[in-house]
Amino acid sequence: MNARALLLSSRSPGRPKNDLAPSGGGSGAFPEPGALLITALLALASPAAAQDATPDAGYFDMDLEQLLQVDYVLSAGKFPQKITDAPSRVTIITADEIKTQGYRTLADVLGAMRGLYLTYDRNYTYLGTRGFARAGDYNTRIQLMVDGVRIDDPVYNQASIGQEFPIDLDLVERVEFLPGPGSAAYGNNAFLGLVHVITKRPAALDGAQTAFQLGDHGGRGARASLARTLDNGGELLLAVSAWNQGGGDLYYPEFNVAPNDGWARGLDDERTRRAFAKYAGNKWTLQALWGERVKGIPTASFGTIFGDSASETRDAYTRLSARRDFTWSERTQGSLQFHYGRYDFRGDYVYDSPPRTLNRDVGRGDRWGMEGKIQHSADRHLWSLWAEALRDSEIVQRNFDVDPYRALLDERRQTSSHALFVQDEITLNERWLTSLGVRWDRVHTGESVVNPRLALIHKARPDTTLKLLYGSAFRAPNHYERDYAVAGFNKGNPDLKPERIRTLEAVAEYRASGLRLAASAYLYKVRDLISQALDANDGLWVFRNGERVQAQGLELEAEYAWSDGERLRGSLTSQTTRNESTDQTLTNSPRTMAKLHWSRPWRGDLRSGLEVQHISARTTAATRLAGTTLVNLNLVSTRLGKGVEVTAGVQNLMDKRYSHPASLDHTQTRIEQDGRTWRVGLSYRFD
Amino acid sequence: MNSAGLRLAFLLLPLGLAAGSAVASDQALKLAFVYNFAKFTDWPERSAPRGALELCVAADDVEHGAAMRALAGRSVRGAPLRVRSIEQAAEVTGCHVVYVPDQNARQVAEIAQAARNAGVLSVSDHESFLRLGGMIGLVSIQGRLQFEVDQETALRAGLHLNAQLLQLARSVRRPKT
Repeated sequence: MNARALLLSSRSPGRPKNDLAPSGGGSGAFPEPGALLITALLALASPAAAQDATPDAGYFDMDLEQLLQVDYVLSAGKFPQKITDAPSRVTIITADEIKTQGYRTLADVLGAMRGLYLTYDRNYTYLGTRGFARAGDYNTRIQLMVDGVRIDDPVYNQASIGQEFPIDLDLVERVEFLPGPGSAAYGNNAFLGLVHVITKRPAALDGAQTAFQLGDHGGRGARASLARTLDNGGELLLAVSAWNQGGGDLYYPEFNVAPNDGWARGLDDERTRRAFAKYAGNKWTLQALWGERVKGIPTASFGTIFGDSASETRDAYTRLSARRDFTWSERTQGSLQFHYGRYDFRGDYVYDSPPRTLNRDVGRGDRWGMEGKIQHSADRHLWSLWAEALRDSEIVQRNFDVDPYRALLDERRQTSSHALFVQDEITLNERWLTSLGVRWDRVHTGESVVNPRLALIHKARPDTTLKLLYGSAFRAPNHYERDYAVAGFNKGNPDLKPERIRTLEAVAEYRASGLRLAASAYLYKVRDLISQALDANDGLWVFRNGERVQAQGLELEAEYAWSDGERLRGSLTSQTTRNESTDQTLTNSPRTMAKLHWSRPWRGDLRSGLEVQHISARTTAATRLAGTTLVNLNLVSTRLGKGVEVTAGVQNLMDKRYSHPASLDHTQTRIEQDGRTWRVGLSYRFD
Repeated sequence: MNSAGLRLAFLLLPLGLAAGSAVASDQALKLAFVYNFAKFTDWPERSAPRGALELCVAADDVEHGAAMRALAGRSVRGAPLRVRSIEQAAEVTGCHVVYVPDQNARQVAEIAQAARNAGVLSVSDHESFLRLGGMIGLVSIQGRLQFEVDQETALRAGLHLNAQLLQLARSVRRPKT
């Protein structure tokens, strides 16, 4: 068959219209600027405007001279090679997909992945995986890494995935998610999974760029970057960005009393500032980043005064890292990495004591780290040796009333931890591969823990791979869980032990030209789970080890690509969780999820991204939230002029009303989420 | 259907009209280069095509798969083209051309070495492919794809690249005389 015929046979004009025709349910008016921009983009995409576009011929019919003239604008798409060593099923979302689907935060990217779901309480975004989304858990069971360095803070071990994530998504090359306990290789927090964010090579941003975005509720943002290739072959990137949003008016019936009648007006505001610098040389890679997010709290969480605009949180990350790569021979390589990180949290909470009192919560962590890695391949073996040492030189937790000053908590600590990991990947024969890993940890609480990991991989046929994975992991209590004690509210628990997990997972993957099918079934057993509970004796909140939980599930994923760049990906997840102590399903644990992502290039360098995400009902102790289906649409055009790129996106296209479960820190049992929101962006590259 | 919905459906109408043109993917563009390189290559006796010409791609993602499917069934100077994917450097033997999409340097270097040993033409879009022992590197320069050739490496592996190909290259590292 002729390639061109193949390219064309997959088309059926008019189909998107049917796919996208909204079936009602919307109540808000479609915002004007967004609509105008979409109209403008579509006009560009119409055949009349696209006559001077790339010749309508398959690349395979061109000769070299013609190929050398093809505009290569979509250079962001790279082969998604996994750089992590774990043999588990990695989900990868690339810069291309981030742009095409119009993801706005790291949370959006993760929420689009198989088996993951989000909970947003209008302050932080929480990631749920494999049925686990514990109320009040600041993503401590997920390890977040940037370019191979962990970026969680030493106080709360929080993985920040909302706007508080300190790196602009435009600088991200790809995001990987490894489900399950990676902690045999990645340490303390990779209990339920590992999120790895890889930033772009400076050369990918090429020259000077500037970008602007607009969104609803007065949302506006700007970014500028400068990338240079230096004379010595090294590459340098500097980037700064900012995003501000006013926040809409939100109604909470729980607070329907004077003077606000339940309305939180303009309290959902968010301000983000970020700076990033990277030098990638032949041997050294240096990176510096800083990010700050200030978020108003409209929900009156933690019993604060409803409607008071002074309640807000500030999260700031600073990180410096240096990596030196070594190549001793074709068989032996290694790297050495040094990093320093600082995390600053400030929470302002206004209480009606009375009188009206501003209470301030402060968390601060300083961390120094060193990491070394050696990889050696010999015959049938691939050896990996990895060592890490962390020094948390200052961990501060304070809580005080500002005026009159009254100290409620002043806790300062210094701790260290180190870990060693060794793995051997053995090619038994052409069809069988096994991987044995063991990790030893000395955690900050002084305990030593050993965790093994085993994988057996069988290439049943050239297109079919079967994997059986066993892993165990632990998570040491963080300083917040152990030491946070505010008189009258919380008490610490110095006896907290690490919680533990054992997992078994079977994976089957099939790949044929352009098609990929994957299925995985898993069983997780958790014991000594750390949860917050109210002590009946003194009425204080405390963290305790206790619950045993079992989770099992099935995940299916299919992906198909056409040779013109069109792509379809869908996933289906079914999961059940059971708390063995109470014999009940865990809270905030949806039974099923279905996701569909479709991206397509159109004439004239226009690309569209459409996704549909369904999550079934979630229950909490107090309420049951109905299942919901959301539709997001995004368009990208590079046609307006040389170096100009325009994007327009709508999230929650159908303007669906839905809510996420609220943690016990809220009076509300549910937090209503945004209806339809739009975002437009324009970027320009100077030549 | 409410008014916002109607308006949206109307807005999306031109999308349907725009369908029907073939805009190929990055992966297809790069494979088209590789396909053309094969037309300008003469292999040594030990690895010359007997029957079909085998074009191997060291990738297993769906985008490359789709591009490979579109390329299959063509021919190179009368020889039918077979396109298949490989996973390890050891599988390079039996290929005539191997294309390695950008991935970590160790894997790229391994495949480049296996290709040199087996007299196979190696192509990659890895930024420093020639330094890693490869023969033809694809590079993106000012919004266009170009290629650079290490003629010395190719010659040592017994491969002769046509002068027309070398003329179109952005740069050629010629053998020391």
